[in-house]
Amino acid sequence: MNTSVRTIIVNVSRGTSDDGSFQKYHVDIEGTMSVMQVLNEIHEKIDPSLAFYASCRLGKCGSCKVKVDGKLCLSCTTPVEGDFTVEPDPSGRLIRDLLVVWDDQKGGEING
Amino acid sequence: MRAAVEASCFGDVIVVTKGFAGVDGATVTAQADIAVESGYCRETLSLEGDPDDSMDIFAEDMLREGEYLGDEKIVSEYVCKSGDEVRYLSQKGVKLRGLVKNPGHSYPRGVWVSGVELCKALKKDVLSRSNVKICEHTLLMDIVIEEGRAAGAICFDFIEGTAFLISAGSVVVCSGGAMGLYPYITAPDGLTGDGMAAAFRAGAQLVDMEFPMFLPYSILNPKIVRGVTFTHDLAMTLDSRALNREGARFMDKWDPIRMEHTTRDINAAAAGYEIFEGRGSSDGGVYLSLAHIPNNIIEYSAKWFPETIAEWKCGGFDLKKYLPDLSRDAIETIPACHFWNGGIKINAEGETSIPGLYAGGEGTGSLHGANRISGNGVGQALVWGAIAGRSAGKCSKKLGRPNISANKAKMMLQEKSEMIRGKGKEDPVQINRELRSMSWECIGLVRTQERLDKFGKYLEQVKQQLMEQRVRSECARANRDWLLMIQNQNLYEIARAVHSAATERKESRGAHFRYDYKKPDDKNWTQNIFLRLKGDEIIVSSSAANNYKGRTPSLRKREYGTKGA
Repeated sequence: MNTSVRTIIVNVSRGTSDDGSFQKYHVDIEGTMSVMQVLNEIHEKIDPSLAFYASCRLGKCGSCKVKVDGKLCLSCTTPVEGDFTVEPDPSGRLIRDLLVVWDDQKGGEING
Repeated sequence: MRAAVEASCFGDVIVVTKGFAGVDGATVTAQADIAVESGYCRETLSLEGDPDDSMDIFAEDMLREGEYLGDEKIVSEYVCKSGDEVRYLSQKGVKLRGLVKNPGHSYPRGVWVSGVELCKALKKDVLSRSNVKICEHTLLMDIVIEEGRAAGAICFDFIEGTAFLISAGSVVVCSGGAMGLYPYITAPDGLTGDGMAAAFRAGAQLVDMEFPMFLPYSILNPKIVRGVTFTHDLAMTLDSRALNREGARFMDKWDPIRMEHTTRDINAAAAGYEIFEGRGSSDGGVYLSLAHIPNNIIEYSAKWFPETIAEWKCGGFDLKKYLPDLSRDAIETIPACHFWNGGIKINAEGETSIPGLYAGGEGTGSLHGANRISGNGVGQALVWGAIAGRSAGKCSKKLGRPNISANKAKMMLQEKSEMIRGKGKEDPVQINRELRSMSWECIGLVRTQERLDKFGKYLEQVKQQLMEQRVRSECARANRDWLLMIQNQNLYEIARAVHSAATERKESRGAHFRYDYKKPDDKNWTQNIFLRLKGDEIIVSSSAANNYKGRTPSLRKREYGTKGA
């Protein structure tokens, strides 16, 4: 596991479905962090306008589903050690940035 | 969700939830055991329960381990109904995975279920009811009181950024604990005591607020898995050793018989004591070691206790990636805030001190007393959710919806909208970080008068800061700073309550450990501490716990940290 302190580049899908673009952030990370922890770092220290969802942090509630480097995953349990791109779950209705809602009231797909 | 199911039998229900319905609280995270009287397990649930158990023994175990601060009526109601709730879950398709005996219980009572399965089943039941409407991503801001009775709630639509009013014949608070007050937590971050704080502001009485529970041996490092409870389960399953930075065991000073397999409150106080006295780990925790156990024995445990250790996974984490080689190295752990033993004072009907306001589940007091034993967290949510929902439904049906004066509604909405605009100068992220850090230091594992005094002064500062919070971006939809601002306000109310109760209780008991009063004082403090707001002032009162008759303090299990010290 990489334990060093370093700067990674995070490419984040921003905006709404009508008006979206990617924005790059330089984020300082230490060791291995989850995608959710990195997004939190961005919101707290770099860009307070970033919208995303976070809850159980254990990969159980399924509500933080995003696409990382093109692959669907839960942001809370997906480890990152280097640069990555993050986009919203295309199966939900996009509210803003990475935050989507599921209109059938099923919420996130809960992990077994 | 359980409350909504029951309330819907009497009329229309609106469920307000901060995140996604059914999965936003702590229940989904539980690899849960639900405590059910062992004979009931055998006779009704077809599990290998022990017929020698009884409801009385179960109740006595809870009262004793709660250090005689639980309310006998509330405990009796609970032990008699938890089995029915498990049967309800089973009927809804939740698999009962086995029965375990946990610390503090005289018989095997822990019925293992998956928190995820449980949430799915409850949510399905709620969604099948056409008279239940769910408002997701909506925060409870305040409870509206009209003519001395709960008449609805001011809520905040996080997506649209607007405050709105719901008028209702009754209001039920089932919003969990306030673990988010601390930096180290096992629960989701969103558990910030929103319902408790709103009820408190509305005038409801809180009880046992000095007893937030910390789960020992939760992972401290590495950070990606901080707060994961797998290592606690590992510690309880195997012959684990808690070590300080000198590599010395310390549980012999606290419970020389049960050692690390003692109850969670004792483990947490012991770890807090080591940390407080400067013998903690490099990042301020304690170590958990299995290195004295041969590796093949550690591996074999997955076969005979698969619910905990199978495949070394917890939720979506593959812990083999993140934990050190356990046959060689210790894990750095911390007692992380796991549960809220106290909360809104309720009676056996789930009624609070305000007519029309009901509460259930975690965040209500009187069930666990000073310490919750395993299996009574999810059980509490189910039993008391159902009771509160039913009582609220009956109340609404009988009394109808009170009229809320248009003027009052307008004023409340204006006040909340103004707060959310956040035009001040204080950064809500910084307020949150400092509040959590100070709470850990001063009203966390170890309390002293000096630290409590320091926290009292700090609270004055936070009060000023909260009036000056600033939304740091102009986003008019789904602005995360709104969440922080509302949650900070609620955490402040909770912090005040914990601080007041912890200052009042000049002894150590259960989850409340005073370094300057290390021993329990049964004579003076087999009392519950009650708090209510009068204006902005907290009124503290205490009265003898409703259970103590005939019980002798000799049943008490320890004097903190003194044995062998």
